Amino acid sequence: MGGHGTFKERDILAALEQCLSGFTVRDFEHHYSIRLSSSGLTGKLPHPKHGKREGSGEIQGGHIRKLARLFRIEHCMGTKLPGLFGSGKCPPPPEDAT
Amino acid sequence: MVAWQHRIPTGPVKTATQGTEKTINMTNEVGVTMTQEPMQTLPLLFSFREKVVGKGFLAEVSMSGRALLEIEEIDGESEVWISGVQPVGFSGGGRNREEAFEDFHQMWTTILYDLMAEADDFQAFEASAKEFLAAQSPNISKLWDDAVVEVRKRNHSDPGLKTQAASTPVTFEVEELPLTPAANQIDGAALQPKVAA
Repeated sequence: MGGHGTFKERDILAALEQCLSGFTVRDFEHHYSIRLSSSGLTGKLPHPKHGKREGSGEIQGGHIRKLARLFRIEHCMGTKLPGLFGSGKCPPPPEDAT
Repeated sequence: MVAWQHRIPTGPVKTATQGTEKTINMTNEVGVTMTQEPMQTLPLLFSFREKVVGKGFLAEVSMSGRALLEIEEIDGESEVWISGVQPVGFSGGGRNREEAFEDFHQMWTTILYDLMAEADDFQAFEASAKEFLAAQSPNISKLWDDAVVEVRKRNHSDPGLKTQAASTPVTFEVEELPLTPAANQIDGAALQPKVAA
């Protein structure tokens, strides 16, 4: 985890690798576009203001929480990115999770 | 340019909330003091219009869309986040509603800039922009619908936000404009102030 309420870009992408099977990411000038073809959904994350090329730039947790909600992977992202939902907090798995 | 145009879709308005205060006491325009518990989630309607310059062409994108405003408490600190409902998939945040809406609008705009940067002609931009603007998710739309129900149930109102019918349709338009000085026109609709009712 980065500074208060922010997370390193490389950690976010690593968490998505584990939580969002089959996603693709497209790197635009100002944002990442994260698409899950099986659901037809696309989520956007802004680029960090600094450190993007090194993967060390930080993105605010709120953007990640909303992305996780869109893809219904809040529980998984909360476990991979401790503190995303607050210290010691993590949403439960979705009810229809197998 | 950001116009504070988002509106709470609900019924009649009486009073309002600010930021993250626990309980709101305020006096309305006729001098009646009322108390109201703040809502942590508000369904919003917004209107944006931006000109976007491409490779030898100019486009104007206008949209009336839906968003969800949420006040989050993270480790004792309050944050305001606004996420797209129609279109879905992006968000903006800040320490207060104005900052969050500014960030939300900026994200909407820069996504369009990025799509424009990839487009070789207007038709390519139009297709990708419309795909972005039309995006929806049933789960996120349900959250917005639920928030509308809650606003109505509590007869919630807000002095900073006009009230508008939740049934207001989502619309968007992507137009090609002539790449001439005639395209330089002040957006009167965006500049027009909104009066809380």
